[in-house]
Amino acid sequence: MAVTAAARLRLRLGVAVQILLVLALVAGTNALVARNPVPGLRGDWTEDSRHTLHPDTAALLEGVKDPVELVLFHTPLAGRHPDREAFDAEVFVKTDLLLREAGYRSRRITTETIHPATNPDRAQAALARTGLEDSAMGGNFLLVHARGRNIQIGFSQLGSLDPATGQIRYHGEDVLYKAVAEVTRREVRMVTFLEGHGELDPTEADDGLALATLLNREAYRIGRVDLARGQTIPPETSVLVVARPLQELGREAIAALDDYHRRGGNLLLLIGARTPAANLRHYLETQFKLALRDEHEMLHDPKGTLPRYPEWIVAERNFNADHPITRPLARAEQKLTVVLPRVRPLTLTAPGVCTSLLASNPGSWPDRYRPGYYARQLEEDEKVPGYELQGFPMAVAVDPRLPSQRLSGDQAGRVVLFCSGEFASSQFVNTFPANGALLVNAVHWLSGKDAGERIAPVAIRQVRLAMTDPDRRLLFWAVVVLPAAVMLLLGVLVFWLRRG
Amino acid sequence: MRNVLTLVVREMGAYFRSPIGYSVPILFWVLAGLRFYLDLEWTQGDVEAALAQLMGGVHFWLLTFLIVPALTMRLLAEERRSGTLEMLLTAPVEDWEVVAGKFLGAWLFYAFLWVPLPLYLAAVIFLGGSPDLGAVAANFLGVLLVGALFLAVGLFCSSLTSNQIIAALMCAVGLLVVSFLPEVARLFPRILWIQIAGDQLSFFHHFDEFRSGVVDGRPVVYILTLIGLALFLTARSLEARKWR
Repeated sequence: MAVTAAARLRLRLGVAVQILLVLALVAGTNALVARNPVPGLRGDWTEDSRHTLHPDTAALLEGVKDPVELVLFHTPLAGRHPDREAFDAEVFVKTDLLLREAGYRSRRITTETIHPATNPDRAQAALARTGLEDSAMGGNFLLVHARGRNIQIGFSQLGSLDPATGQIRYHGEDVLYKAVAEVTRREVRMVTFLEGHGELDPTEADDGLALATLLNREAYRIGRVDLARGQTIPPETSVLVVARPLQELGREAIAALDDYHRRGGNLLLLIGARTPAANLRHYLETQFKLALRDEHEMLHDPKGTLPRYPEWIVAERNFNADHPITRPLARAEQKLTVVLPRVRPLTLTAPGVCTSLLASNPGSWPDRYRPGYYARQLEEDEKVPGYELQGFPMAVAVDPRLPSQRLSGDQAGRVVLFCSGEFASSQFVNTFPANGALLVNAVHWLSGKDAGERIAPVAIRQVRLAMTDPDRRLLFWAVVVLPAAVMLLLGVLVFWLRRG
Repeated sequence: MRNVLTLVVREMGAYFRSPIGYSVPILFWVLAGLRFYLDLEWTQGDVEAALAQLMGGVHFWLLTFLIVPALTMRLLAEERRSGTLEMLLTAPVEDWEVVAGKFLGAWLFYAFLWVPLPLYLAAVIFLGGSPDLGAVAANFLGVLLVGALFLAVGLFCSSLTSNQIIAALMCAVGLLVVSFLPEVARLFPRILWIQIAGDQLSFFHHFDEFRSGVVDGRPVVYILTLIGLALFLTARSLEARKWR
């Protein structure tokens, strides 16, 4: 039967309408399902439920009131060491899956994975949207953004290498939990910098700006207080930073610090060799049994026997692995170097009152350099016992929750003291990433942000075959030869039968 | 439904009466088996990694992109060239039954390619390994779904021409288009929802989840609706012959 032109046109229009309707149905169905994740439609089929979120994480994510953006930046093959590349690749895969689980929990959570190298425009757009600086482009990190706040989490914070097994221990869920909780908090934690005594200025590029930038990345608000001008420490201050004052702190200032501390305030003290510290020394000695020593010249190297930077003290391995501030450095998958210039030596005069966080590494220098630490022959009573083997403490922490460290009273806050001021300056923080990590960890601990590991990593069952040569032969025959041979025989048989 | 079953049996029979029914599985099994064996060697017996490579590694995608056009190129193109399509369409079967029968036949044959998988698992268990069977099941579900989607696209391409070679080429191009459709989102880097929609359209993105042992309803719906769309277009393509 011939089809007329008009009928053909009607048929074509009908088919076109049908196709459009089906396309709309497909798009609508997918949009509906994507925007309204139905509980129960997502299942973790793995035996160890490795992708299932901890109930606390699930509750937190399901309960977020503000829009939260989780953006994962990953630049593979960035010319790094192959081990580092493999580490980053594994952390990326795990974090990508973690974000998908997180995105499934709430419509308010938006997740994105961006490869800046292959899609720079998208990366730029994400940076512009979240207010992150362009210098972040090349890095591998997870950005948690909400309420105009950012927390930037490096891959080395998401996973660590277990030296015992050589496997990556992934603690991304714990880190994500804390970051989301932090950016969605009603109040922002505030870090207040003391000023008026020549301290590091958090607004000056070559002074304390790098530290302030790091703290901003962790969603801290920066404040300043000048006690000499009669200002009082803002009550919302989580941590008060005394960063390398170049003038003596007066008795009133010390009294204000002491009062703040006794009422639960947390102190971060960066006191190096350049700080005149007569009043501080007395305060630290009476409150924390810490002897701040004056003989910093012992660390100079007028004979030039130390390599390159005579006034720099390096800590590479002597991190306290039991303390939350230094534990991440001690367990990092690569060796981290903290460099502290112009150090003022400390002595802990009463054991147990302070916890040493890191110590110098005299043992890490070649023998010929060791004498270079001493510009003059030390008197016997000046020598620190065991110094040649253990180094001396360069940072200490005081936690009044420990009975032995409750000298200032039950309500007192935490204290961290670094015996170098310049190590927190932009020059050192930008050059040595571990310096910045150490400082940020200290602020986290002081502000109570890092309350230990809340979400433990899922114990993943490792399935590895230990094959002998006969096992290998058996496997080869079973998986390579046998199926193909059976099929070949079957084919020959069928064709032989069909020929007949 | 009976018509569909009859067509499925006819299709399966057609595969196993032709050399393709034997050469494709032999090629696939040798390459997949060799890859699985070598991956176990290279990873010092990491069963999880070897299985993930087997069902989602680069070679898996290469083989899929090669095998799907080979399986689908003859489905309708050959019928059209030999004139049997006219007989089929004038028989008391609906267009959609023809399409469903052809599709299911090809899909069963594709699933047949994975018959050695239990043998691989049995060999690993026999040698002392204990693979995560839940994760393997999720991964296999992803393999079957993606295979079904590719076959539906190939079937549609086969319905457009009577030349098998052209059908195979169209299928390969069609698969590439479907695979890289989300890349269109790159044209709008500053519009977040387009970027996220682009991610959602990428079945490589979704396949990663199946591969890691997670089964999400969204990719399942996405793939099933795309399969439905491709089969619908195939049926309309067959119908168009009647009024051209």
